[in-house]
Amino acid sequence: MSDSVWVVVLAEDQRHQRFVRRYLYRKGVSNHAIRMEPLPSGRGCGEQWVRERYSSQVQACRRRSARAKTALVVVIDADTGDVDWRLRQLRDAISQEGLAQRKEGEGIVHLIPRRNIETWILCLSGRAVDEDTDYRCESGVDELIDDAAVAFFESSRINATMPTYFVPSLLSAIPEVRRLD
Amino acid sequence: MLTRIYIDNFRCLVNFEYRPRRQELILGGNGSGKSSLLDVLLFLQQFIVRGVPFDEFRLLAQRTRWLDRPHITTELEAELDGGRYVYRLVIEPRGEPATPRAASETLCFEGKSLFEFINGEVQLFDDRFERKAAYELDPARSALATIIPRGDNQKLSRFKRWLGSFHGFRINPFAMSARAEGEELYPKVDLSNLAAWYRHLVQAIPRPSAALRESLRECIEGFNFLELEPFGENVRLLRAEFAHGGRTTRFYFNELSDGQRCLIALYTILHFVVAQGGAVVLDEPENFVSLREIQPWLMALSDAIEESHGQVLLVSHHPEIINQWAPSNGVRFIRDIGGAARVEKFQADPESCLPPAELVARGWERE
Repeated sequence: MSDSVWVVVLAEDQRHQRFVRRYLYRKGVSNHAIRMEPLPSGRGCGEQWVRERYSSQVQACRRRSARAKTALVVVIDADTGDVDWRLRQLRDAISQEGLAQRKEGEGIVHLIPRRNIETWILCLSGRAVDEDTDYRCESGVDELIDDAAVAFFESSRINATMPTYFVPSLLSAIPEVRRLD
Repeated sequence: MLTRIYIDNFRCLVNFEYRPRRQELILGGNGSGKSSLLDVLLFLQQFIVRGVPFDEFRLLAQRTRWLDRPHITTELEAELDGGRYVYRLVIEPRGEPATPRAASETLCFEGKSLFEFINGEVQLFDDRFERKAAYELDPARSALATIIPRGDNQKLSRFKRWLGSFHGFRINPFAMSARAEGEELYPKVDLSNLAAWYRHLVQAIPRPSAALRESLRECIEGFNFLELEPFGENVRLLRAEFAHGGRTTRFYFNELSDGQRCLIALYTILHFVVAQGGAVVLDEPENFVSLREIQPWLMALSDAIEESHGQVLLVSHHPEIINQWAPSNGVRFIRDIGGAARVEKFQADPESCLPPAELVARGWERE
């Protein structure tokens, strides 16, 4: 019998979930240790959905981390903004609730693909991409997710060489996932 | 993969068309036709693959009450190996008292005939669509069911093999026993023959056994393994071994809790059917399963679909399943008062700040 959940995933949609799930499996986290928070009902409102739930998840994970290892993985597209802008929004969200800001090494992981998760999936699959083009309607993306997550895991290991073709938002995710170690 | 099913004049399914995707959650109120869909799929599988005659299904009594039409029509479409199969069966009442008979039964591949059974006469075609044989047969059962695989009917046999691997389940732990009086090739819809089906599975495809054991160790505390204990001539009893603090204890399958039996059934389906590329319809699979175990099973199911390209149609009212699958994979069966059922994609208000299950609970997903 496995232990309780220790990784909570707050994601925009199913592709984000699948990418993180596959990454976590590769990291050795079993599906019994992962909790996927509900997805938003409608399409196109995912980032708002994640921001609205962020504070309460931070609070819950902090309370439990006092007793046992707990992590929160937040996956939210930067869309047409940039990664810093999205980080500011998340910081504002917890400030408004009177919560302390994220500390260094705390198990709260922000994965912020720019422009969206499809950019990362294609990039990790070796395709030349930029962060301004919207790749959401590209065909065949779903079939690439599992291998992309494995590539992400390999690149995020300590001492791994950072591929030169990674887009900036993907590079910024490497130190983020090391918060899970 | 099943790509389309058409049903006309069966319960609340009138001119009903449904095009499922690889992974789908079927939502809908009580009486919206979800179970009827499963029943039709089960009927077709038993009729075409196992050769069960019409007389065992009481079909005529299940014709749509408010219509006065004699025929029941069903169509199945499947994409297999890059080609499109279309199977069509028209059932008519014949004689007095009326009994159901096949008015026509046909199978096409890419629009060309592989098989025709019309007015009691069978026309067989080979893999190059050339007419091979014609003969008469009793329309009380499927003529397609009688066709034996041969070198020149591989396309037709492929369709039957696929349909043979299509299973529907409405799991009932109370009906399950430990006794397996032989190997059973096909599971019953309630899995009352789980022990005998499991006995067949571990003989026919032993490879998934290790994965099943690992999954069950994750979700059932102390679980060690399943085994089939000999019990007289040709009879085996399914039992589970548990280990606690260096001590082992064995329980017969019927001695396990309802939830444990369901978990064993669900992971058996996952590893031995879906992970092998098979297709299943599961009607309320979460019944009896603890809340803690639903999402891990759902995740493992998604993994299996993604890796094996199997197909899963879930029928569920459970918030845990709705919250995970409805936004991307949800369809709703809708039935206006006293009318026929139809299918719509689950589409909620994109600005809604409620989880999908809460929208369904409020009936707001329909607005």
